[in-house]
Amino acid sequence: MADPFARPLQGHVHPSSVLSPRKAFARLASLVRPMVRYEPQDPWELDTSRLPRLLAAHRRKLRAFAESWLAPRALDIDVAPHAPPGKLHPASREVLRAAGRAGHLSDLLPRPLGSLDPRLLRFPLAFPQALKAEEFARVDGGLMLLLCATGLGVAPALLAGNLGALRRTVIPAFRACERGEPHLFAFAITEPAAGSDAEESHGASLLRPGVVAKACQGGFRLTGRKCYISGGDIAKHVVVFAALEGEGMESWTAFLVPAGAEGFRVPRTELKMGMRASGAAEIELDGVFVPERDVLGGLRAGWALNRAVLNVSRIPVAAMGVGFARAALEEATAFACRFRLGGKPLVDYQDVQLTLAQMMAETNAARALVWQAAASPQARQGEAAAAKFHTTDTARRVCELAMDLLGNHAVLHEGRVEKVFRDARLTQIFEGTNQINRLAVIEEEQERLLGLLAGR
Amino acid sequence: MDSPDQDAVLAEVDRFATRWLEPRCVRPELPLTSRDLDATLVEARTLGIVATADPGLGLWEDLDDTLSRSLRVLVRIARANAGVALAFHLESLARVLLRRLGFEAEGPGLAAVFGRYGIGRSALARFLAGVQLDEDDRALLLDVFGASDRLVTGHDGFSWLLWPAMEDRGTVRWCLTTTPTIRRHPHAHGFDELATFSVRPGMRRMGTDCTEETANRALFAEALTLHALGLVAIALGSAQRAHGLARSFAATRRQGGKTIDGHPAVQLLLASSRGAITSVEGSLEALGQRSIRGASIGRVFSVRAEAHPLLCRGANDALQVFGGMGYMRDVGLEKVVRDLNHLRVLSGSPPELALFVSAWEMHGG
Repeated sequence: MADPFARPLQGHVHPSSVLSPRKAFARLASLVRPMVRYEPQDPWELDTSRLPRLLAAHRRKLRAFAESWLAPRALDIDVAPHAPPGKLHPASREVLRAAGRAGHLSDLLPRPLGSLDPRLLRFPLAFPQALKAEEFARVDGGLMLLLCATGLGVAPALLAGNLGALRRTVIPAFRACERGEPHLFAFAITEPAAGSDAEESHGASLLRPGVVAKACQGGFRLTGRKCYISGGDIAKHVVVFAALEGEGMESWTAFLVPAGAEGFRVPRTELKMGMRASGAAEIELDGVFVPERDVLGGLRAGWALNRAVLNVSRIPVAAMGVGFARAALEEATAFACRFRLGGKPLVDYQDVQLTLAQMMAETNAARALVWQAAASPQARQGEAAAAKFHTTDTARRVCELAMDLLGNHAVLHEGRVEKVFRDARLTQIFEGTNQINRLAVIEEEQERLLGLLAGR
Repeated sequence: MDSPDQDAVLAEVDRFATRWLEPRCVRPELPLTSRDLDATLVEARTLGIVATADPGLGLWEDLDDTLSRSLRVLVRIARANAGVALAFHLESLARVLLRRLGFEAEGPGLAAVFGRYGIGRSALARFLAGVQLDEDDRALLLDVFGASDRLVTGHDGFSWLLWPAMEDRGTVRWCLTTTPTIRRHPHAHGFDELATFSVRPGMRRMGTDCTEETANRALFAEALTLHALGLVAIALGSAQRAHGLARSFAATRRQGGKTIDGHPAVQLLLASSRGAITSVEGSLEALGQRSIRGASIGRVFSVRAEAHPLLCRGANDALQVFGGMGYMRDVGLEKVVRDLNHLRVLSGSPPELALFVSAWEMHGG
């Protein structure tokens, strides 16, 4: 095989040319030389090297897990027949067990309560979660969601500071996960008549809640229906948000509901465009009893918990967008180097180089936004929402560029890019549509804007 | 064709779409089976919608007339089901080209007028414009339109394959085979009711009636033009379907205390979807006013390069109106998005079409 370094890419000088910055920079004064770089470096390594050492190590561990467990199974699971509620593809089950043992299902609490390296507590919790979402999404959206959605279900218990629930339920569940016996959680806010209204205050103020909690001896009985609950069919506990009987959304309360409770039923999971390794479940509650002790954060604290969870969770969702953009970029780059057209690799064509450069820039910009939001000590609504809608819109755009680059080969499942598009498309919708997320940015700006209106 | 005749044909197509096709496509998550598709094609041939061995008023027949009738038929069929429209288009195109070439073959056929990867970039423009080709152009065209595999999305129940083959000396020759090698790809992005397969022409039989180079090249350009027009028309019909679904949904779905079409966020999405459709409708209408001999491939490719990204954007905006429901296969929006993505990259992606257009213009095409 010919040495690929024997010639430059078409339209460029060879790196050994005196006109190449690679060669030319060597002539700079030694004091100046460290200020500019040209040497090629793997983009992932470059990004990782810019992280604090502990986060960098964490990112390496996540990528290794994704490569060894998610990647080999992703395409097969994606095209498997739709499973009935509660049934997992055998390969998904293997991944779940392995993820549990590796600590990826219990990393919202530090060791010994969970699996997170306690040294990572010096960073906002959203940061390691964002790294996980990107690395897993880059390999497979469906398995990523299967593994990450449980964190969304655990988050209300953490943010509620409900030590009893943590002690009785979350910590034992984490230990089970680490033994390879997955005990998952799900987060149930969406109702058939309330998608966006469950994620936006103005809509919520006008909404008549569909799931209602009626007080009874020792607790509450929940009745109603939730839909599109990620992982809701395999979760052992579901955090269900319900209004108190006779009251509106201001009474929303978070209830920790065991999936085996009497009256709890999962009639169906949706047949989705993508992210097919993770089920989107409909949940029916018919007088499900929840003891008072499993009310998270107290009565009428549900709306605050919901919004707080969204502030934190939208950052990993934004990172999913980065992961999808990266997947599309990497596949397109590999294709451009592998595929020959007219006797030369596709990457020799200038327009292909322009497209790849555009994809690289958009992906890097998206990651910068996510890492900036993730590094913030407080999960700010505006920052998280902006990162979410911007990166997920970017992901779709980068996927489209990748599909254009692959041409007719883009339609093939084995090429992966078409699947990345299908997976990425959901991130523009869940955790609040990107339109709702734009409004969330303005909501946080409201008081400043009102001040401007008042001439202050 | 006179306007009353054209109206009668379109009314027949409308009846077919409404009474035959749409009832079979009410559940988007359950694609038409191969048997359903066969039956649909038989019905369409009987009604004269799809071109057959007997000349009639099927798709792409009567090429001396304006193209608007065929385009309208494809748009209407695609509004009901894009896969069926693509099957109709490919079969009719093959039959009409076969007839033009003076070849004979029985049963339904397929014309693979596209290349191994797209359309040969700007080299194709230079070739069709009759410009002297350099070594790179020749290598590219030979590679793209040579004897290697071609990726096809269509109905795989065809009996013969027609394709333009580039020859070493830089000429094109039309070939026909009844024994192509087919390798089926089990999963593809869109068109659940069709198959995506690689086809290798294999042993080829040369044409006898149309071997003159200039005529071959002209027919090649016409075939590419018709194919591109067909793909845009199918994409337009699909996008219209998505917009209609989104518009209806937005008028009934309530969020924030009112139907969602009262929210500017949704109005902007619907306007974007509508704008994409209106723009492509206008372009296609203008192109349809000419016969194939009056149609400029450069203009058609230029429209196609812009139309597909626009319609993809429009369909995605329509899907977004549905929120989470749009992502579910039983609603049908996601299928439209997949089909439109699929159409966008078939037979020349937007950037490749743009390269063609630029070269075509440069060489006075």
